[in-house]
Amino acid sequence: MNAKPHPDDNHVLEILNNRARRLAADASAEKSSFTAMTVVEFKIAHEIYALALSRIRGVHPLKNLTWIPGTPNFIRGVINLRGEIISVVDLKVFFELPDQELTRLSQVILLASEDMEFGILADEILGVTEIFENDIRPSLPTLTGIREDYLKGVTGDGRVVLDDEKLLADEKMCIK
Amino acid sequence: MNNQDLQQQLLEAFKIEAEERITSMFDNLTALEKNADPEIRRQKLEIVYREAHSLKGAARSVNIIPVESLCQEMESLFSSLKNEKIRFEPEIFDTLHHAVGMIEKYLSTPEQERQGLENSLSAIATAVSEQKEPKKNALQPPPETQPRKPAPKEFPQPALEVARTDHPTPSEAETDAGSSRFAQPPASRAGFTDTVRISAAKLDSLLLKSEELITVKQLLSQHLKQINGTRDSIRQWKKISETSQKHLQDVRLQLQDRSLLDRFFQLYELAHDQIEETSGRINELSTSMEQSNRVLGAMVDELLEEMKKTSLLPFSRLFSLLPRMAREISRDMGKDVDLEISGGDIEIDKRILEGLKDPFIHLIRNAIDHGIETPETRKRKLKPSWGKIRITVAQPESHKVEMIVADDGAGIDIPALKTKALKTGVISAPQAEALTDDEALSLIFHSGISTSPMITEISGRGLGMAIVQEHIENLSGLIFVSSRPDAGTTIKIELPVSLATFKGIIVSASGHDFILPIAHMDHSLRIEPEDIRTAENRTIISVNGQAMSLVSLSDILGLPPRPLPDTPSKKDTLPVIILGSGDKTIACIVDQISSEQEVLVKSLGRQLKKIPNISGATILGNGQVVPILNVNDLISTASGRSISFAMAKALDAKKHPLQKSVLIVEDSFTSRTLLKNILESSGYRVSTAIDGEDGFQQLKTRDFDAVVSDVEMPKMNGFELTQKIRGDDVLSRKPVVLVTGLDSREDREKGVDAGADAYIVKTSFDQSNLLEVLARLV
Repeated sequence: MNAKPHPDDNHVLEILNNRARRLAADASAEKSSFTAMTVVEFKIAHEIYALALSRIRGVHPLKNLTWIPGTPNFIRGVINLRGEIISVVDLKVFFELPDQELTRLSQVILLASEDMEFGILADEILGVTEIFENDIRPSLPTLTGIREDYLKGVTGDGRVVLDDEKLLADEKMCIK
Repeated sequence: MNNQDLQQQLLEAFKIEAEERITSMFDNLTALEKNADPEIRRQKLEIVYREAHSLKGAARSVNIIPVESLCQEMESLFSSLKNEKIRFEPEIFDTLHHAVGMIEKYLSTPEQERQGLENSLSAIATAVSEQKEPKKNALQPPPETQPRKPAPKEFPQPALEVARTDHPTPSEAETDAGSSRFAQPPASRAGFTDTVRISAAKLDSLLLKSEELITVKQLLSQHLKQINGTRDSIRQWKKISETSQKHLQDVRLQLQDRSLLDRFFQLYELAHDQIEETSGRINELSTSMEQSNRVLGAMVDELLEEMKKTSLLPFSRLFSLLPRMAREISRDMGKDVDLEISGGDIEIDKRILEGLKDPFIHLIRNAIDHGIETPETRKRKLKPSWGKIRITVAQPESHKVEMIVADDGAGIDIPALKTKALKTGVISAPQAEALTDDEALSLIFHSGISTSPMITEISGRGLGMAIVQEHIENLSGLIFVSSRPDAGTTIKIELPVSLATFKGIIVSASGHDFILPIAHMDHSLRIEPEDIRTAENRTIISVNGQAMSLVSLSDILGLPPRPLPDTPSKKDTLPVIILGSGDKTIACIVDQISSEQEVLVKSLGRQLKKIPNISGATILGNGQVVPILNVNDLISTASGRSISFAMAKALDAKKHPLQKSVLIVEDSFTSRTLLKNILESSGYRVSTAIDGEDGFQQLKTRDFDAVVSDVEMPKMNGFELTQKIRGDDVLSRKPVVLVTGLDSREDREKGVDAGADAYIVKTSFDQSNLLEVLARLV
């Protein structure tokens, strides 16, 4: 709160202008006054990614992955989650990241909307944390490529915030 | 099914419907009477109006005229009330309640005894009709024999009243016989059927839940196997312990000073007792496990069987709409057709029955449209002027239903069919020549031909047969056609009784497992690579004297072929499966054919909506997901293809005696390369794995003559790997050589305990030693 209301009460317009300016200033300065988003942080190919918690149905260790022939490469296979079969997406392949080595892909983050559901492979789950929305910036010039289309942005400290809704609704994700 | 049966069935259905509508009318009339809110009254009035209208229609369809007429009057009374031509008066309610009560009474009276009630019904109809008159007279007292119903508010069974309002919609579960709140003598209710209505969705989910128990059953038998494995190794241990005990005894007798050894001996005996006890316990555990396995297995099977029955419906459900349809179509075509149906009481999964509706309508339409001739033509051919279509359902096996639609019409014009197929380029001239009549007939399933209007005109049966076939095959069924000129055409359809589970076998291709539905598997055989011939650029084999296209499952699925595994018993033969879908068959090479399984179909999830060649997946007892092959897809993908060059090469390698293969399991890159070089230069085919886990995976998917493994490795060390190999059903006899830097006696013994065939310490490790050991073992 760096600006105070203008003492001149006679100029309403000026007050309003000041107020507007104050609000605008807050947007870039103060974290605490802005909405935070709860996210799950995880690692893929040595980078930290974040996904909003709202669409996440659970995190499970990767076990008994079965490859399905005839599926695109980014579908690594399917797993059995308590009797339900869930397909597993490898974002490294989907985003066409250069480093596509199959590392120790040990965790599956289950993402679901009403019409779509799949698991995302993560090398490591870092935990649940909060990201302030005003901390998310449009993606960096270094993050070009396919991935750019599925990002909400990048945080100040370089965490890549994925757009869960876009991933879930994307045509390419639905194999018909 | 004859007309009488149909009538009976319709009556049953009507009774259930009438009961629901009567209940609804009672409830809504009561609400209408009690409620002052005009909006609610309007809604309630609308409901009773519609109920009366629907009941009228239903009564007409089963020819119960007194009920129909009364409903007619009620409907028009409600209509007048709706249009506010007349106002609600208490008398109107009395009359209406009475009328509904009478309908209920009439319908629950056995048919023979209804005679006397008909007059009462028409008297009430008159009374209802009089209420419509705006001037409105006093209610005519009903005839003496029919005491007036008490008004609902005086009703003596309030508890049931409450229960009713809890379930206001008729589609919810509701018992017919037990729930009436009317103090009627039980005899008068004898007419209502003793059924409970449950929404299909609830039943389906119940069925699915019970089907999940199959997985539990499989899991249990898996556990039993594990326990028995443990039991066997304990037995082994016991034996060793007994032998050592004897040896110890001998040693003891030869010693001067026995005191030290005696202490040890005591301890040893204790240990042995412990083994005995453990052995006894595990035997018990194994026995009881076996028992509960059997009991639970039987219970699950029974439960499933019963659950499946709940979703079975008789074919007559489907057939009831056919006679009218046949009549209408034949009238439009100017043909006389007699429909004869038998086996309508045979039951089948309702999902299958629903899926059969469209193809069936299509078949009947085809038979009348294109099969049966006009009466004039038939006379000319000296056939009875009435054409006949026979629909026969039979159940030759408990899990299989067979359906035949046969007409005595003109039959399919095979030469015309061939000509058309030639013209449209579906077959070539030499092919047309070579086609047998049966083969030619199957052309009607070809969409390229069936969409041609000309062929429909010439031979009939073209249009849409491809779609019929697709429908049937989606229901895991098969369709066959046969036809003779002027004698008619017969379509045979084979279907499973139930959709949800089926028998399948596990086959593997390039190291991946798949489920193959047994229904689509004609048989399996083993061939020698030399049996494969090439004709017209296609690989074929001869099966029972018939040439058949040969493909490989790996190729069709786009998997890289692997070196073919050797099976210990039949060295150089290849497992081949003959797949069939409709009239198409194909021979398919697989790597391995394993056990038969009961398969519960699961979808591949919301993301994988349609995948070529894969129809779904199932979960095995160990939790592993295995994809299910779609045989129709496989056959169309395979059509015109041969086994690939890569596959042919792999087969070629097979023709020559194979080098012995060795798997090296070693985490150090240097040691791995060293070992590989040594073995390769000595003529072994060598594969490598980076740790025990990797090694075991490879052993599961490929066949090796021996394993050479390091001891100290991440994830799974050499001892563990050896134990795992020994504990595995298939691999247990595989020669294992441990190569290690650990030169302690303890470790050496550990290696032997684990079941290794040889233990070579790296310090003493020179080439000749390893090679000598290997040569001895493989």
